[in-house]
Amino acid sequence: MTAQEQYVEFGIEREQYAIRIQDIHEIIKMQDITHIPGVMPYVKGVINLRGKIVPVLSLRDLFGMEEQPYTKQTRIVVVNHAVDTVGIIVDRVSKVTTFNDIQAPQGRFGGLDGRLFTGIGLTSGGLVGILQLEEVLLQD
Amino acid sequence: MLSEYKEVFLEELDEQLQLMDEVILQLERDCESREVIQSLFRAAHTLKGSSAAMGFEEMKRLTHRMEHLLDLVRSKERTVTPPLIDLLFRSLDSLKLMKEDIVTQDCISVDVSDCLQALERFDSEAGEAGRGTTPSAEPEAGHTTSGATTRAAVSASGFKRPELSLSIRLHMKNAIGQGLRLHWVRVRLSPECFIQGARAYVIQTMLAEWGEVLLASPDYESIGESGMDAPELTYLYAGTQASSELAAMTANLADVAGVDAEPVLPEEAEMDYRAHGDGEASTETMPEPEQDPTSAETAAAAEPSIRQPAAAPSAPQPSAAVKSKAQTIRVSVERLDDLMNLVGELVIDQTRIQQVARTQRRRFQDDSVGELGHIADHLSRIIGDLQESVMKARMLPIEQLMGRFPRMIRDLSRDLGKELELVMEGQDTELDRTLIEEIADPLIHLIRNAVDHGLELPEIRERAGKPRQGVLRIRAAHEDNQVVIYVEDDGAGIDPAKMRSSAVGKGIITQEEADALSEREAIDLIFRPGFSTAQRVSDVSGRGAGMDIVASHIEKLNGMIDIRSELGRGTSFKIKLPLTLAIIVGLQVKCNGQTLIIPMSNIAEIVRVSAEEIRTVRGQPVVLIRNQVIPVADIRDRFGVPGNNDGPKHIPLVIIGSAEKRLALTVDELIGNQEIVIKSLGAYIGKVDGIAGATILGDGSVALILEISALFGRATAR
Repeated sequence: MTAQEQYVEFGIEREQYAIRIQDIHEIIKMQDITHIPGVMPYVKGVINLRGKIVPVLSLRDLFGMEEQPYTKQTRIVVVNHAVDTVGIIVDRVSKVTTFNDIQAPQGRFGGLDGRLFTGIGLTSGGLVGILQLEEVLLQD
Repeated sequence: MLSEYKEVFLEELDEQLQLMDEVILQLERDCESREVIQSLFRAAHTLKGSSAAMGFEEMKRLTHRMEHLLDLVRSKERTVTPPLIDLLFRSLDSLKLMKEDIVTQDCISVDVSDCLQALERFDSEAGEAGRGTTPSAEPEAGHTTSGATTRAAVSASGFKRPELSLSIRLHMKNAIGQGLRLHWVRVRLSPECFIQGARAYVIQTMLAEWGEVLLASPDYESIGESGMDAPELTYLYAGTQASSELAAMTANLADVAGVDAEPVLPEEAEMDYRAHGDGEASTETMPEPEQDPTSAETAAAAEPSIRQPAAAPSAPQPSAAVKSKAQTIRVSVERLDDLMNLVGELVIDQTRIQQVARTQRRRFQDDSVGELGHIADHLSRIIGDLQESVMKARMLPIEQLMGRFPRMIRDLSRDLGKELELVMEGQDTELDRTLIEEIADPLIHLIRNAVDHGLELPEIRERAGKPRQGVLRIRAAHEDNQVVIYVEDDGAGIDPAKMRSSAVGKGIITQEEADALSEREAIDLIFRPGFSTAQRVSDVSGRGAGMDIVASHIEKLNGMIDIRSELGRGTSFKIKLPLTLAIIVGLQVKCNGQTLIIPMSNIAEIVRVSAEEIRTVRGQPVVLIRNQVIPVADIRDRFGVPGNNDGPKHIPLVIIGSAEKRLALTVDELIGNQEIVIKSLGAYIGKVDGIAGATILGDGSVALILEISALFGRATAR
């Protein structure tokens, strides 16, 4: 992994996370979500993304945080996952960034399993958890 | 009746005629080319086979004559001369005329007797020429052949060698000259083989693809007529393969029970070679003198009549040719699927535009808004037409399927000793090709059941005062954008009392439950797994797979099945299917603010009832509609949404059906019908119980489509 790879940095609560920019399909504002009864609890439902039905997850839920009402800053980060497109709800999207220093994830990162991260980016603003999408999306 | 094959036949005919055109021209330029003659012979042969299969007797006769003549040419018993070329062209023109007739009026009215006579004359003259000039050739050939045969029989016992004619020995010599190996291939067809003639044809065709078949005994045409039990086919084959290879290749073909392949013995070939010498000498030398008068005569005879058929059709021919060409194009199903998906997207956008236009109209009073409305209306009309066209492109007449029934029923009724008349209606009813494939099995099952269990034996029918001959009626029709198929018999009908006792006996229901069943419900027991009323398990409809399989098949297709039976009068099955699986008509309903879609093909009826009409029987809410007790379910319960009980006085009930089952769903509000495109929820979410998929509504929001069969699963699980 080169240090100069570009990432999209976003946050939930007071924490910052990032996803490699090439994994991101697009970032959209909050949409009406159609709830689906009987699916995994972290799946909030589905949205209509220009004619395509896209499931939407909540990162807060995935990371065991309490749900908050959506705000004007709430965004859906739509990522490509295998053949599917999946939306992830985050509190805010901050910027596109690069990391000069990426460290291997420790056993745990802020109370979360280290396997969920490919690395921890060090910035002047603090630590940014770089998500390992496969692990995050395949949670049970 | 054979119309679906007719198109295929015409395509092939077109191809072969065009090929013949080219090849005869080639032959005119290069009289010696064996390949050219061979391909012409093959074309004539192919046409003979297919025209015979289609029942075009005239065409068969003509192509048969051509084939025969070409065989003589091939074996060098006749040389290629201008009159012969002329005659071939003339025959070809006659064939073309026949094709026109088939295209326009489905039968042949071209008079080909002149042409046939000319061909026969050519044939016999060739024969006479052969006999006249080589009086010794024929008997000697026969002698040598039999000699070879007996010797071969001694050395490689078990092979019955067919007689080798002069021309065949010539081919053998040629093949050896080309460095090919000769083999005897003996194929035993399996006794189960159904259409032996056709199978033999396939085998011969395959062999001809790998190398060359010099001799086939018996010919595949005579097999169909003779009706042997397990025929053995013997081929004389020339090719590059070794015997073992050849045997292995042939053994892989369908319906082949056994293959023996062994090389033609050297002495056989040698003998043949010697026999050849005579034959060759004769063909080379003798036709020469006789030929001129022949050709002159035929040319004279042919001249006027050639022009006739050739000149007359020249005007209508181009248009007919264009017509038949434009009639069919082969398109892969995949492309049609893509097209359907794109149209699906359009349908969604169109509903959205409609909705936007409506809101705009409400909000603004402006000319441009009115225009938007007009454009939106026009657009939806066009998209509607487009959708219909694409859907039609995917549709096939059900004849594709029903065409199989007469033969099947004939065999069935004979096996079972039943006498019956098959009445089929609505063969031109079209439905999606995937549906045709999917409905075949359940339909065949129903028909078998009707013949086996439904219709009685002739004697029993007579005793019951019915005509000996039973009637099985298969009807297909379009009803309200759906396909309905009926399978009706005038047989014994189903006895509800017997059904009850049988179901209790098999432990499917308790005696109490049985007593509570109405007659219709008792008859519906036939769809329960593990139920079969037949006393004996016959190989026709037994096999453990019962009506429950039929029901689950139809359920899978979002269809419904209804059974009506009257004791002594007969049974009628009614299958209702959506026209296509990709775009469906759905009823939008609202439950607690969420829009849900119920596929229209699953809706039996919609009623409004007052709250008091919903009663409770053994803890299960039910409603009585036209004497039928239907369980009631609340969608909100099913999906764990809290319900508001202070509902309106009249509750809308949507009575849904899946296969034979019925359920009344209470909903908050009925919104309306709409064509919707079924979209999957994607692999990430996967299959969700109770949800068939989702669609995008006019306002851009996503609505879930209920999976009706799963609702029944839940209802029974409770």
